[in-house]
Amino acid sequence: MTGRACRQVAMLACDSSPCGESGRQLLARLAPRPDLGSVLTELCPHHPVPGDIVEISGPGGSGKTQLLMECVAAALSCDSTSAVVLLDTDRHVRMPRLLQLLQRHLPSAAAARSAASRLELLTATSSQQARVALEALLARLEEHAGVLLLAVDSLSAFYWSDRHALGRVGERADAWYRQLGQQLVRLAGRGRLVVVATRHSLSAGATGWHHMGAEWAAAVTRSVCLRPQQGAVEATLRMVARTEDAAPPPPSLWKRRFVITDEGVRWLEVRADSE
Amino acid sequence: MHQYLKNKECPLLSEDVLAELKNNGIKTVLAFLSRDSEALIHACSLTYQEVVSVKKVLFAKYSALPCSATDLLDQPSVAPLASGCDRVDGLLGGGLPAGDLVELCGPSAVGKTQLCLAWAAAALLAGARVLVADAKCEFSVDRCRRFLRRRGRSAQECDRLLERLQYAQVFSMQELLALLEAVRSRRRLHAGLRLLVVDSLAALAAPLLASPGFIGFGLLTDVGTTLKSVAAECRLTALVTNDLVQSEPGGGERPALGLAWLHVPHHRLLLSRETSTAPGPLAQPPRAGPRRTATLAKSISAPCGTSADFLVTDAGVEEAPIAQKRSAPED
Repeated sequence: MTGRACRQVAMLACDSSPCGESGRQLLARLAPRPDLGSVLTELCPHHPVPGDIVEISGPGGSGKTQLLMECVAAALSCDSTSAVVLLDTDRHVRMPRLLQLLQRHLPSAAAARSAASRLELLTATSSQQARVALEALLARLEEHAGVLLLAVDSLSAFYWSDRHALGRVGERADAWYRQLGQQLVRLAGRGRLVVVATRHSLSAGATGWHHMGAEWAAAVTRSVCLRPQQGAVEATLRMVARTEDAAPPPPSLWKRRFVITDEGVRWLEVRADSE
Repeated sequence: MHQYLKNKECPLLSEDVLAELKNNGIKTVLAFLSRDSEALIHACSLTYQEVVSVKKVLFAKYSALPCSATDLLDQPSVAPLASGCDRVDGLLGGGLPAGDLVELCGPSAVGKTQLCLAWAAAALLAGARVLVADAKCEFSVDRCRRFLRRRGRSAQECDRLLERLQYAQVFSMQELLALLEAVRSRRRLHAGLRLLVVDSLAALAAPLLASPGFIGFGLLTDVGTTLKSVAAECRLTALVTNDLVQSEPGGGERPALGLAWLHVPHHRLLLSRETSTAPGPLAQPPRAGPRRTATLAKSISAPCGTSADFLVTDAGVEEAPIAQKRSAPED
């Protein structure tokens, strides 16, 4: 099955929308969305659009959370009403740092603070808490009509704890994480959000293994892999053509390097490769 | 992991309703919340409004805690905890940051426990409380007392300061988790706690990592999550020590406890010690050990790769004299 077909199947499987929606829900769904100018356009010339799922992966200390915070700051700055929901499982996000990044995008400290006030932070201390929070978000999508971006840091914070706890009751962690992936795909689709999620490298040397499962991996439209290299970080972006793309897909692989400074991410040279 | 539906969650969840839900495969809180309300009224005898009410109660109880970014920005800041060695403190932006998990990583006898002692003494001198979870029985309160005495405190003052140091021996990950949960749940009892030391996490966790069923990695993740939660909620610094292991035959060294732990700490200081014991040309304080180096290997807020040399003396941790290059002998 091609990546595009897998994504279509994944979205249909995850969609458990009720039969009929209220007028409020319909308006929230059909309202035009502001353009989500994002740091990810540094990696490729195409802005993420509602429904896109971006995954940032890499080893510890490679800059995943910093890149995620750049996306959050860019989303909060693109419009005076845009809102972001950040699901924090790792506790690596720092608000003073976010404010610093916002001040780079916005003309004044007051504007940066006003943008920060549109960030809803959900701090989860367990996998169950995180998943219940996502269900709450799904249940109240019409109340979150202004939310452009759902940021998750990270998808793998509780993996080993879950694997141990589920193993004790005879269950498998892959089913749990497959359901988590389905929740995020439903949010991206029904909520017309961009989902940006970080994921730690959980296993050294294991190629192709993804703890979220094949369905999630197929639903991801942009995969950013970070690798520390010679004082900088090499980011490799792989794009999957979206289901609604009519034009031929662009070159699907970009490599770019960046460093993290006090002002935020600073991009170095860009190079587009074809697969 | 799975929170099962129980009558105590909400009075509307009677035993009959729970039995009906169970017959339809809905046994857990998450299973209930992930079903549409229309589907749930067909699975049990609750009305639509009752299902919505039960969902509200469950969301309030089990969802992640929401807060606004501006509330966090408005929290009063807590000054970093300085050890007394400006160069080492400078690696972390002035000292141990409140709310963060800091890891000291290095081989045996490099000075990890000494640095913990120095920061503990600094916290006591600043009027704060310290909790030490000692897994190796190497944490010397007497040495901490000597650090305080060398800072000019009288014997009586040292006794009074040491009353604010709470010492606990822990011999298992489960005991450590119980201690951390006690700190979190009884915050009033631990008011003023500024530093929580775990020496050493490797001693507790390493024996479990090879156990079947991923119990070691699971407990390690639980400890990491709890340490970060306690640090954030109590506005303290959690300071843990860890060993270094060979990453692969012929390869470099890396922190112990595997990939499961590598991403957990907010900051990681790698410690090393000079191996030469011959007296060098640099004047060092008397009764000082060999020169040691701390390198910032990971940080969420400071540039990595910076390092600082320090010495461990009777007064605590002090800056090492700056190394001068030997000039080449003239022909």
